[in-house]
Amino acid sequence: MTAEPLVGIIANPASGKDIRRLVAHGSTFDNNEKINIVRRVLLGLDAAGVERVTYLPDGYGIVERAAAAAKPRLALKPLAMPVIGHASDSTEAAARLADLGAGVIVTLGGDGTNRAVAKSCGDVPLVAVSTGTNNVFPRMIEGTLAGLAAGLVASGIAQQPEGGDHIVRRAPRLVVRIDDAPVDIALIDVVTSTHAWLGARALWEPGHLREIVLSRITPAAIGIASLGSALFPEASESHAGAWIAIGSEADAPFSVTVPIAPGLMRAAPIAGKRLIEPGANVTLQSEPCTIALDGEREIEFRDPSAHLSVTFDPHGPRVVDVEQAIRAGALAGAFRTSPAHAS
Amino acid sequence: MSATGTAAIELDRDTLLGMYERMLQIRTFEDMAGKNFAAGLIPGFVHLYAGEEAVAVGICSQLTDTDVITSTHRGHGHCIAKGVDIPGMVAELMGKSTGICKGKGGSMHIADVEKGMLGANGIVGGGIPLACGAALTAKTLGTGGVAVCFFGDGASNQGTFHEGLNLAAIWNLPVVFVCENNGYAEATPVHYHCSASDIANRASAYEIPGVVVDGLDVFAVYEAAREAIDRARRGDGPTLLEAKTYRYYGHFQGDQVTYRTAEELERFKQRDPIQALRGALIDRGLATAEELDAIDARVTRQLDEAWNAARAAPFPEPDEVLTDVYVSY
Repeated sequence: MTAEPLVGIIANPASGKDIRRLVAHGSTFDNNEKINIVRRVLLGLDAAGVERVTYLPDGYGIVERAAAAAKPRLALKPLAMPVIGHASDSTEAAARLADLGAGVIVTLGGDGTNRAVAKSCGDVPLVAVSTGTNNVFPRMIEGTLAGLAAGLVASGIAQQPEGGDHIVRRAPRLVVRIDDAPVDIALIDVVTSTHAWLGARALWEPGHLREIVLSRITPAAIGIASLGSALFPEASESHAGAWIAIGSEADAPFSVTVPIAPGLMRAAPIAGKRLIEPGANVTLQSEPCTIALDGEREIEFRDPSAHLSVTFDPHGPRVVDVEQAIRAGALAGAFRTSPAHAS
Repeated sequence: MSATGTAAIELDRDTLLGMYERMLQIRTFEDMAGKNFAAGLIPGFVHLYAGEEAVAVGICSQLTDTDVITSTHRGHGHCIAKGVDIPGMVAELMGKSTGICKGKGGSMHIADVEKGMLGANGIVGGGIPLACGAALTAKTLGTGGVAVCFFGDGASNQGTFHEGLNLAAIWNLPVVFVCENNGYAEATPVHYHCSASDIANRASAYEIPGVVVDGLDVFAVYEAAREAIDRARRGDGPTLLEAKTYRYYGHFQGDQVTYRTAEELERFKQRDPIQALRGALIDRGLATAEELDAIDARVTRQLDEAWNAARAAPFPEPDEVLTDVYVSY
């Protein structure tokens, strides 16, 4: 058992409120619901024997409000960091939690939040609870179970066998490069778009897409990543990624109809596609575009003489498999108590 | 789902330069209003909009004269963005007979119905029922018009907000509610006065879409507003847009602004919406610094002339004191 295991919590107050509530049918994920989830996470951590939790503070006080109602035994401490209400808060918090030696970081957010965390969390395993819009990386998982799994891994009760990867797995990532220099990362998809501006950031129309690089082929994905399993069903759950080029309705040989945003089925004309292997480097067209990372336009690419590429890096963040962690905890007797007279 | 967002935002150079000039007109108008209020040239109060320009311009640049807006005590920016005559506005602030309301509206009751600007409003949340009424008119008469209702974070705690969203939802009115959340209701921080972390969340209580948008980014505002306006215009009902923004001046001129730090103000000024647009235009080769400087100089000259003209204009005659004060139907 690790001495006084530390768990981090990064609950993004801004996730789940973008334009996809207007142009598609995304749920509004209010912070009261996030408080409810964090409450259950804290109680799960408590039950798993975690004694210290450090968290990203936010103006609304998600973790403080959760703790006020849940009254966990564990000691809670906010990170002493400036909070500016930007995604960089999550990146900064993850870096600080890694420095503090956190055993696990629990995130509440969508693909975008986890991308921000994955930039700086190093090898600290993540338990990613979905509260965003297009979520492929985090899972819709009950908060108590997320807390239990995080606690069992952080405390060392759920032991990863030597060389094994069934409790904590390495997820892939995509590294965007301009003239070979890394400029940013994505966890699920890198998409070049004909949008001239970052604007409201989300993408929801196939007509705006040019090229797509996926880090995984997931059968039940929502968002642009849903193109992967529609085009490569045989590669589902393999280690392969994919490159896809979107064409025009007039020229493309066929289209696939996919849930490109919540409730929004759209036909995407396919001009080209191929599976890619981990380690592959994919060159994209160098025409001016905006580049979306995990569903949000983040980069304006305007120099056609620059070389734009994406590396499919298998060494992304480490992720806790919640089911396997709880199973390992049960095997280790974490949930068993003996009557007092038996001792 | 109806056909939304079928075209990427393609703003041509002329449109973008027009938006830049409008934003700059608002900023310059407000900076001069601040100075001239301090110099005693403006009676009553002024509440300045500097810092929030991307919201008014990102939205109103997509409205027609058939569309109407309702405004707030901080209404100068909405007026300019909707095309109200600037010299007439300056004279109105000074209470001169050449003002857009013949000098009897002043800063907080300025209006221009011809331009679809239904009025600034001294009552917090007062514009919300007016916008619902205007939207009901547009729907009943089949004008195809949309009502856009600007209000602040403080107004979202008023009964009118909740009544208005409910009415708009049950009657499926063509209205876009735009909450300009500048972080403070007068001197009270939003996280203290508001139970919701995001005011857009309150839309879900009325089962209408609620969206948060970066109010410092004119492109983000433009894109979200386009979807909300289109939705209203095609008969799909109201939307609540929350634009996270910031005001550079205090709640009113004379406010000592003891409730926020200089560092906070400076942090927001680093993301100034006008400078951001200027940078984007230059970076993309859509305009040169010299061309934009020429616009800056033209706007300053226009406002200088407007203030000079207003100074020279007469006040209304005493025997007109009751004229135009009440509308006869």
